[in-house]
Amino acid sequence: MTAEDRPPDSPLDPAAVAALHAEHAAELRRFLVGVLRDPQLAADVAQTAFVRLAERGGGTRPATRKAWLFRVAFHEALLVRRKDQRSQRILRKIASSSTDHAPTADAAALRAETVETVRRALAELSPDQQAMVRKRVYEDRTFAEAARELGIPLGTALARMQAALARLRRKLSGDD
Amino acid sequence: MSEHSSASPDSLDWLAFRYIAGEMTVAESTVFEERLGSDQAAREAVAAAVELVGALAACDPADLVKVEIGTSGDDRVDLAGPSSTVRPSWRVMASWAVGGAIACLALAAVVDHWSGQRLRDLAKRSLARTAGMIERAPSHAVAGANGGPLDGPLDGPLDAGGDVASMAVRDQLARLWSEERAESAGELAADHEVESGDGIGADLASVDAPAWMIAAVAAKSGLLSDEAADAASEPAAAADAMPAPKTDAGAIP
Repeated sequence: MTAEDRPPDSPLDPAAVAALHAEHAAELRRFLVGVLRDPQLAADVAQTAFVRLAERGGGTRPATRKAWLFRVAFHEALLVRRKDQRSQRILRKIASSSTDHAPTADAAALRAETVETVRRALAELSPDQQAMVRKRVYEDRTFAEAARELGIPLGTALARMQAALARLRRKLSGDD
Repeated sequence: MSEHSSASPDSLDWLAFRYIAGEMTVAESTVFEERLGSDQAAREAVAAAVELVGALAACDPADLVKVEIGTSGDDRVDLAGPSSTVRPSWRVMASWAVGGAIACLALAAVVDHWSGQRLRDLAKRSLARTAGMIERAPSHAVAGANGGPLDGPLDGPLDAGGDVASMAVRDQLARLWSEERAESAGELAADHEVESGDGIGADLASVDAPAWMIAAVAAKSGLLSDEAADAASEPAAAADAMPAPKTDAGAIP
């Protein structure tokens, strides 16, 4: 029986759920951290989403299962967030999510490699861009605060940050 | 996927970053979240933005390369943050302190060794010259006679000034001593770079001939009477004239 033949809310094969979990759980959790600004809530919602997938994902096509999973998780996150409104100043919470879970040896090595890549990528940014990244990410300033402290217009600050992020992203993805 | 997927990646990534950073207005955030409900690319962009911020946060800014910013080129900003520009990390301060202590110890050891060696050299030279001077004075007085010891009697007070030759020798030695001290002081002053007015060289040069030396020479003044007389009339040649061996045993009292 193919996925198209199954009822829409039929359970999904546990092996398929496990494979999807191995492939998408980390990304899903990051997405939920971005929505919820809370790593623990994000982990809980991600778990709930996979439970939904196992219970009712039988009718989904394999090509759309990831999107289905993320959509279900997003709606679940919105429900949770309404119940638990969180404060702002969220980048630190997002950053702390990376240390909430004890990494495996492979994950630690991968992380060290990522950190080194980030360090190199940061070093290759222009000084203005580096300053902006520092203000926004490491000092948790808002764009307006960072612009004021750097003595530049807000639009300039935004442009520098956007350019820095784009370059960092390309560096980290190996496209640059 | 939805109609939003055609947006440029940078724009979507930028929106995602602004979203997770809380840098959207309520209206913008509402619109973006509507998009998240239908656009898988937007969801993945949010996940990627979180990953990027997490990677940046994991990179200790204190370890980053220090960079300079500023349109004028004079304004320097440390990527490690203002705290590191104003207050260096304890590791940096500790390394400077240890390095400074080691440098001080090394410098002290070098100076101690060098100055000690220098002073010893000066003392040796001074003692050698003084010893030679004292030794030569009696030797040239007795060498040509019987080679006896310095057995001349001390007649009268050392500083009575009754004997012109004795006075001349004493003055001679006093001058030589002063010159010796002045030379040593000058060398020391030069070596220690104290010519700038700390007075050390002047103090050293102004020390008078010690009484023991005057007494020792004056005790033999009678042996040096001829040359002492010459020295009294030709002070500049006295130093050279003194060591000259005297073979006239008759001068011995």
